[in-house]
Amino acid sequence: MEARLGRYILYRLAQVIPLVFGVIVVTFLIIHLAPGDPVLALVGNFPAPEEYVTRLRQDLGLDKSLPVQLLHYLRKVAQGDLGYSFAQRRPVLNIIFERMGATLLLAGTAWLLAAVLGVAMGILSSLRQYSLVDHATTVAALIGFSVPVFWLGQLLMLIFSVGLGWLPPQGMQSIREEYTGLRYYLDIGAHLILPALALSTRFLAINARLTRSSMLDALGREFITTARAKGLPELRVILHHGLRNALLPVVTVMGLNVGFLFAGSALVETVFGWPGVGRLLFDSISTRDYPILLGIFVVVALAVIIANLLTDLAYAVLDPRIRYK
Amino acid sequence: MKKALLRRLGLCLGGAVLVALAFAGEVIAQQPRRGGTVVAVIDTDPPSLNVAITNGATENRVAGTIFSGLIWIDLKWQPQPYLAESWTVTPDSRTYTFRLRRNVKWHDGKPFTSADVKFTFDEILAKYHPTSKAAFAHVSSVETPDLYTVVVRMKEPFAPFLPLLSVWSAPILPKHLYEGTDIFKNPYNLRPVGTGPFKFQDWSRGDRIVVVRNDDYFEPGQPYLDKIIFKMIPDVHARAIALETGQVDYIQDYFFGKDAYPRLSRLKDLVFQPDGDVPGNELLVFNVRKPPLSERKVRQAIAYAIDRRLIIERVHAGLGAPARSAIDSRLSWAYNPQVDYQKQYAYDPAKANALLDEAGFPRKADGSRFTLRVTFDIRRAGFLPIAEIFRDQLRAVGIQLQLEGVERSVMVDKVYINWDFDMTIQNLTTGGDPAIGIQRIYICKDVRKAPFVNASGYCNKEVDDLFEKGASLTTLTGRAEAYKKVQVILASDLPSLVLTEQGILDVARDRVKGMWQSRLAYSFWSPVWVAKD
Repeated sequence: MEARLGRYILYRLAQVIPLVFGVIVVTFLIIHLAPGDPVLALVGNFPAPEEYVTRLRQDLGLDKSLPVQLLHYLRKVAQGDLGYSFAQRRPVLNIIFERMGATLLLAGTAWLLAAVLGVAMGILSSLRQYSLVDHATTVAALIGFSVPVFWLGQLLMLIFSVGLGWLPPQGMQSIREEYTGLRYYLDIGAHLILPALALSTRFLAINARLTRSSMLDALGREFITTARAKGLPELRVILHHGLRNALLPVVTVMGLNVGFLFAGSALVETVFGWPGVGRLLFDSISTRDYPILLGIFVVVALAVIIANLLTDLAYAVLDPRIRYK
Repeated sequence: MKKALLRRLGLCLGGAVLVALAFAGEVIAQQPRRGGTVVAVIDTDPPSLNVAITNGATENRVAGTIFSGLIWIDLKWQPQPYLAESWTVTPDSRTYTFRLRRNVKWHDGKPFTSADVKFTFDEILAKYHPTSKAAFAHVSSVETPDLYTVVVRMKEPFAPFLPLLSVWSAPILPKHLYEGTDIFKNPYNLRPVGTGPFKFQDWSRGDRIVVVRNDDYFEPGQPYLDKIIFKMIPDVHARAIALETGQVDYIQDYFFGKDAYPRLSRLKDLVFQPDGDVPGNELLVFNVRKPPLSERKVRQAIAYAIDRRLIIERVHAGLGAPARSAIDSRLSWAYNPQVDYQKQYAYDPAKANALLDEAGFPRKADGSRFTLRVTFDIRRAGFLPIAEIFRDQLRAVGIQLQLEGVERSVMVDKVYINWDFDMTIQNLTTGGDPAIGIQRIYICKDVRKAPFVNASGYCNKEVDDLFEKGASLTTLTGRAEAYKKVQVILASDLPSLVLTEQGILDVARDRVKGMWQSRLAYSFWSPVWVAKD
């Protein structure tokens, strides 16, 4: 079994290479074929001298044909080099890793919030079907799923920062104070609450709805009746027999959501001034910083592939019937 | 009786002393105070802080505190001594002699000399600077007879040369750190060394850039502040919220979303300052290369069909004014009061209809005449609602308008590189002088595939000659005469319709004192102080 699982993991990891290759080629073409010129974005709001523009274009390698640029880029990526940022003139990998911690913290917290609260709300709803709690959860989930994240972000800021003055509206750390020790982490925590809430809401709603329907389905099955007939305590019936079976589709969706979380973080990080990869992506789109855009896509594609692999592995833990062949 | 009198006298005296003390306290409170931090808003990470090779707004706001120019611009638009303590100009305006300050040091301790000025002028600004390269094209030589004298000789007079020497368009770079290096890859672009009141300290990507007081600054006792933190807040609404909640102290006009003005203006501890920046205009640029916009009458009809006051009222919260002429009336010496679009093109749909009929574009059976596209940067605050106003008002005269809101770099490609547009909404600075920011939109030489030049394709020899005169004549009255004539022609030809004289508005907490002593206040931080921290 373990050897088989090991082989399966290796097989899945081997798939990463053609997948990343595909991601690079497709995004490279889309980015370069989209209108907009990184050189003109770099020189500011006045007509730049022509020699300067030409010089900059040569310097960035943008004077070469598209296939040559693509081959050159692929060769560098194969050597683990994601190139230099046009705008910042620094290695792309360094820039992305500088920002990755902030995004992982934000997206990770949002994912956890969505997982714990969403599943809890789903269970509660399914146990009290058509009750007030169920209806309230359904309506909340519908709203949570529908509101645009940038609007929700601004609303949260107006309520909790401007109105109540409880939480800071911007950034990852206090601007004027420099904290150390425990207060440093508490400060980051206080800044994290609003953006994490804004980012998680949509996924929380999905998880709640999915858990509810999946639980209702599981709780109606015969093995639940059998478990109850055996005289098992109700909590054990719900959590061990009901939830464990109901979680499979929820876990699949939570795995898939990792990619969407990264996409959502671009907006949330921009609204809340959170210094993560999402904002870097947003800024790099406006400046047409191709190397950073490609670098982020490669890193995020890898993260999504790994998240999906972990999801598949989680199946085995949740459902022993699943065997990897 | 005597006692009572004495008591009364004593009371009066005590009262007087109290009043005097309170007054003295007030006076002391108004004295500049050393120390403290100001948090200023910027949008996002600038590509670099070398403002000698770019004039991006963000890099200018930050690096303006670190670098210096030979002069600074006062509130009356007059150049005042900065790195140059004095200068002389020959009567023919062909030779400028600058005497430099002797007590200036670079932030790394090396002395500042005339060699730095010559190097920056010859090797950097004349080759790379987006704004001042054109000015340096008029320079024939830069000489340095001694360590503290710079002589600039011109091929021909160029009137706005002196005002261009501020840090906005001519920051001086350290020769010892830049000579022989690749200007684009020099590491000091990211950790600049200047001569300004503040020294670069730290750049936390995506978060903030911090500058600290330069204790060796040449102006004794200044700067007052310990530190300026430039906090990056990408979302325009979040900036206003950060000001409301006390996170930040100052939002410069460029970063201030004016739709927050009505809300913020109700707060007591904020100060609003108009005119703290160079005037700028919103324009509707017509692509005159093809019909129907190649017809002057059609362009004039559109000017009659648009009520520009609505833009001010509905889009800009009442800030700014409808434009009057091709040259902003705030450049008062150059503006021609005989030209006033508010009278000449007062909102008049009937006249617009008549002109369109005359031009040979009668209404079809469905009531429409023709369809046009308006292309604009969708992320620029206010452009979408302006385009929507156009759509409604042009529909009333039979012109169907398609809105093409695209991202900035796509707009640059479409409008300035491929000329693939009918009309475009633009926002352009006057640069403080018609020769710097305005003529580029109208002269034949600037009908070229480059951003922010003459996209309309309009070319008129008479207009070119007048703009050239305006730029090269040595007296202000002579220059003004040329510019006044050109405005009459442009008001009739209308290659672009200037829509608004944009309201400039900075906002700061009232504890921030001493700001706004220059027309480029955002780069003049040495006299700024905070009442308490």
